[in-house]
Amino acid sequence: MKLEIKELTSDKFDEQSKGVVILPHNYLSEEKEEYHSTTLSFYKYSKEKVEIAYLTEPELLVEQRSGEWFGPVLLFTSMALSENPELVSITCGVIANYVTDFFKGQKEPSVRLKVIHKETNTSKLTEISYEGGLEGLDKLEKTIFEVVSKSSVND
Amino acid sequence: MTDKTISFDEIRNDYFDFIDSCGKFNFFTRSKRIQSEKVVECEHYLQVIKSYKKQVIDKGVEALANELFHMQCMVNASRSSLLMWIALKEEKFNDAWSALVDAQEYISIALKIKDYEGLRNLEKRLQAAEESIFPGWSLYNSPGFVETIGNCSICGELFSLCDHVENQIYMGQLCQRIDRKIVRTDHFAFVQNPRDRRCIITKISEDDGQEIDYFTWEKTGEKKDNSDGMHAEAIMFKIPTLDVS
Repeated sequence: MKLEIKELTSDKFDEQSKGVVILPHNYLSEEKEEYHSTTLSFYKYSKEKVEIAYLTEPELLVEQRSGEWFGPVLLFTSMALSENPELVSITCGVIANYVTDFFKGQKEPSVRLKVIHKETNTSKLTEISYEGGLEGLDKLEKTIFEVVSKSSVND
Repeated sequence: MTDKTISFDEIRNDYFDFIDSCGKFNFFTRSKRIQSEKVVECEHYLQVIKSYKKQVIDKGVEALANELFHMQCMVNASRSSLLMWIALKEEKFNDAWSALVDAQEYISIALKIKDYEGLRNLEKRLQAAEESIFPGWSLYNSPGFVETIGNCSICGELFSLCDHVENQIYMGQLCQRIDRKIVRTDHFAFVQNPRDRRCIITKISEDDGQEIDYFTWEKTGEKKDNSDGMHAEAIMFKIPTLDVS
């Protein structure tokens, strides 16, 4: 299992969403948005279980033909988390159930996904990259909480 | 014209008898002629299963449509397995490898619907064949594309507009995004764990630059310049052809 945290700055993504926002794979680029190919099915599966929306309507998808599950890039804003503190836990649960269902009949895959935390109305952005099995998702959840609580203290 | 009525239990029993009959020929030593005949029988039997499936789909009975789809996948797995033995005997090793992966993928799809000992036994036998017959690959190819969304294989709508989820089974069909158009090839990478295990390295160059076939280890007669590293010839992408609708 691998977890990496990167601090970035961006004036984008001051979304007023109360839920999770799916970002394109090239979310920091100024070029046309390209979403991971898993985005659409994940969104359809999740939308009844968690408040979730696309940043923009996907038109182009990045298809990676390796055996890992490249999940969509998920944005949690500090505003969304203050409105719904359970959002991270629910989302991690949805990811685990989705991947289990998607790969039923196959070997459980390695998961690769990026979670972005944005402090609303600041340019500070934290990118958490996760690579590992489903059993490590609780560590991802814990890391997201640590990033969020650190940013709350700094506020 | 007389319509013959058949119960689902009779269909199920007939299916088990047919699958058992395929299993008898699923060995290297069985005659290639009989194996080829069995492949033709599988193809006819698939038409029978699909005609039953159409009837239950018309009646809207999803559980039976899915069970018939399971049978369809298992007959296809048996057919692919027989094709593997035939291709091996004809020394068409690349075809044999693809047939093995087809059989394994049909079993994975069948497992989404039902799981039982006979199915697991076939899965184990294919795994054993893979390990004992083929050389094994530490690296496979994994391309990355930028592509359009495509349509839903279940309802035909633009995939972003319907509620169907990829890799789920609906009314006896596997949901896939189809009619996708590649906009840009992003990269090709060598990976240990590819999505498509048919994307293999087929030829490599030895230290002296002699190219060899990775299946047979025979020299191809080509000599490569190894000064910038070892050369490899590989299958980069295969269009999926599994029968999943």
